[in-house]
Amino acid sequence: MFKWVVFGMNHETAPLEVRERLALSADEVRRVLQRAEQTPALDSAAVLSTCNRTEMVAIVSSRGGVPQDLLALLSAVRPEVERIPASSWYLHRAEAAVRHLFRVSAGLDSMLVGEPQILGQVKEAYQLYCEMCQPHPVFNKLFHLAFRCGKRVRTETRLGEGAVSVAYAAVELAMKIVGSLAQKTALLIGAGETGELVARHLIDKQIGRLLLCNRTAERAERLAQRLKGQVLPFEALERALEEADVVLCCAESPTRLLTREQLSKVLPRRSSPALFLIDLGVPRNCEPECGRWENVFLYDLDDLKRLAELNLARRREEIPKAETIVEEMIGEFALWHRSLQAEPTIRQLTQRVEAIRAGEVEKHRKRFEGEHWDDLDALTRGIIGKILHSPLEKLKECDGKTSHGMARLEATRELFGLDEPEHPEQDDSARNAQ
Amino acid sequence: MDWVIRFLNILLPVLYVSCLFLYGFLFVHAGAWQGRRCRLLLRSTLGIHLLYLALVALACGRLPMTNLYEALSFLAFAIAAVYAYLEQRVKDESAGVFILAFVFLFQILSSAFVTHESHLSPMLQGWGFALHVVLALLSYAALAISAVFSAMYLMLYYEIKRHRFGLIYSRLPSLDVLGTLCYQGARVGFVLLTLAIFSGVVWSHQVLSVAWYKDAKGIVALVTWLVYGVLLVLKSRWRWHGLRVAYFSLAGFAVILFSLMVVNLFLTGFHGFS
Repeated sequence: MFKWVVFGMNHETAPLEVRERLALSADEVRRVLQRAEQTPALDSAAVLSTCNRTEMVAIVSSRGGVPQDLLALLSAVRPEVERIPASSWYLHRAEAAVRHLFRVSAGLDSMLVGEPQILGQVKEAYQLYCEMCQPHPVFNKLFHLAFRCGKRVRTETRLGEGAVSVAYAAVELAMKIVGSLAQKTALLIGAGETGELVARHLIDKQIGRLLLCNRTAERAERLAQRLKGQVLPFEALERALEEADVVLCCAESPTRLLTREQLSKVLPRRSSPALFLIDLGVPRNCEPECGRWENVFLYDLDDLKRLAELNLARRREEIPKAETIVEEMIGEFALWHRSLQAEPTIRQLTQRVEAIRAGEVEKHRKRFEGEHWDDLDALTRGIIGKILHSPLEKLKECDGKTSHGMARLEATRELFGLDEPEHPEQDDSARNAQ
Repeated sequence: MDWVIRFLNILLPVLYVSCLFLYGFLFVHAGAWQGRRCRLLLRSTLGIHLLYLALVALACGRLPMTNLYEALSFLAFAIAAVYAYLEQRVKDESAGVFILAFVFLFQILSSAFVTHESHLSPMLQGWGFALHVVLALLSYAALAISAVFSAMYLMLYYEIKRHRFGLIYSRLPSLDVLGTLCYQGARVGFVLLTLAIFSGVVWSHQVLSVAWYKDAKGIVALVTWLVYGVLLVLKSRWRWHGLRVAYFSLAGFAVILFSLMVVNLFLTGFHGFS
């Protein structure tokens, strides 16, 4: 019988210094997969390696030694693996392994629950597997259900909604106020680290233009080179405020850089409808009264932290819904796997063919005299029996334990549409015939 | 055909209230997949409403908007249809619950009190009258939608201003989008209203030989036109932005509601066609 396992480590079992030693590049993953193909104890293996996890999804034969074989594969490309304590690793088998993979795809196992990148990373892991190995039917089904699970969780729940870090929360708010950032201008005052991080997120969201204003021109120039922004002298701050839609204040200044009076001069000259001030400075760079102007929205670090925490709490509320979807998908996988045993396939095939035969006989019975009806039944049964004899014999040889046998069973199910609902007319005819 | 019209007249408010509940549920709870159900139900309801209007037109041999309650039903249809179009364009269903509240209100009033008179005064037969009424109702639909987006804009504006991150914050589209939809609705509505007033003035002069300013409804229509006209001028010349535009649009719609309800029911003039 197939045994599928998940073996690896993640942010919950291993600290960053351990995880970073095991973060594999695409080439290293290819080398692991190449070696996995030559390992007799493994039928198939895929590797998922991100900054928060490195794990192997594998189908092992009963002879295989888990986890020694899997550890050996990883240590072949990263010898330091052997020095990692055993407590950092986890091993999930059978249904627990399927559940783990589905939870990972759904973002339920991520450090920031619901983060969207992981589904793409699982897809990349599967692509690398397909590139390097002969795809195994169980793996195909398992990964495709994992993708569907991830997609369903994202569309049917709000697990991925709302920014859960201060920097993303600032960008989310900016987009809630000024809409698409493509035609908008951001102004970065100061050269603080958080400000730079928020500016990078704004660039990721295709901000139209980035202006930089700092008392020390050299620091602004260096930052502008990194962020591909435009430097303005500090004296031109008011002019920059006239053009900006989003203002990031992150200067280390003992006095306020933006005051209510300053804004009272700037606001009548502005053409943009709204001004979003993000005050990331400690002490704060903006006078709190700035936010009292019409169409001016002022947020400081504490406000953004509160928003991020609120979003995280909302995501956690969605976890039960997401777990229900994961369980449904596990059920679907179990159903599919059970259907790949020889006995139910043979039974369904004979029932399906008999239903068709009975339906057709019933439809045409009136064309024959009553005394010939038994002969008609016997004749059609004989034809069906002869046609099915060889395929059924071949199917009986499949035990659903080898990939060849599974492929044959799966092909049969697909060819005869055994996983599709039966035609209602045929059902009725079969019932009438009985 | 009569019993079909009577049945649809009862069915329509039921369908719109179902849409309202479904959109409300989507607003509070569900994810994107629920949106498909909402869209499907709204479009089906619009199809049935169109059938109802067509049957009334066939049965009576005239446009189904020659009295207040028929006009309310057509207005409900026009608002829902314009919203369905906008929803498709903006890919956002969050406004549905607010818009459909108005649609349901108009339709239930219509269904409760409507009578379909086959007899129509000869002066109301003709393209001039039809054009005037259709333009006026379409302009009301666009201005109603503008008002709903204004209300949504104000709710979100104050939610963000007060640093609150509740349901309104998480479900509504950006202030920028709401402001744009509010302004565009007002602009389209103003153009249609201008055409409606112009066609009405010409038609009343030719057919009734009555000056429009002797009619209460005509005067209120002019006030509405002035409110929206001032709004558009202030927006383009004085750089008025979201907040003030939203308040102005709501004020304009209050005048329209006054015109539809109070003027039609309690004041007399040649718009009372009886």
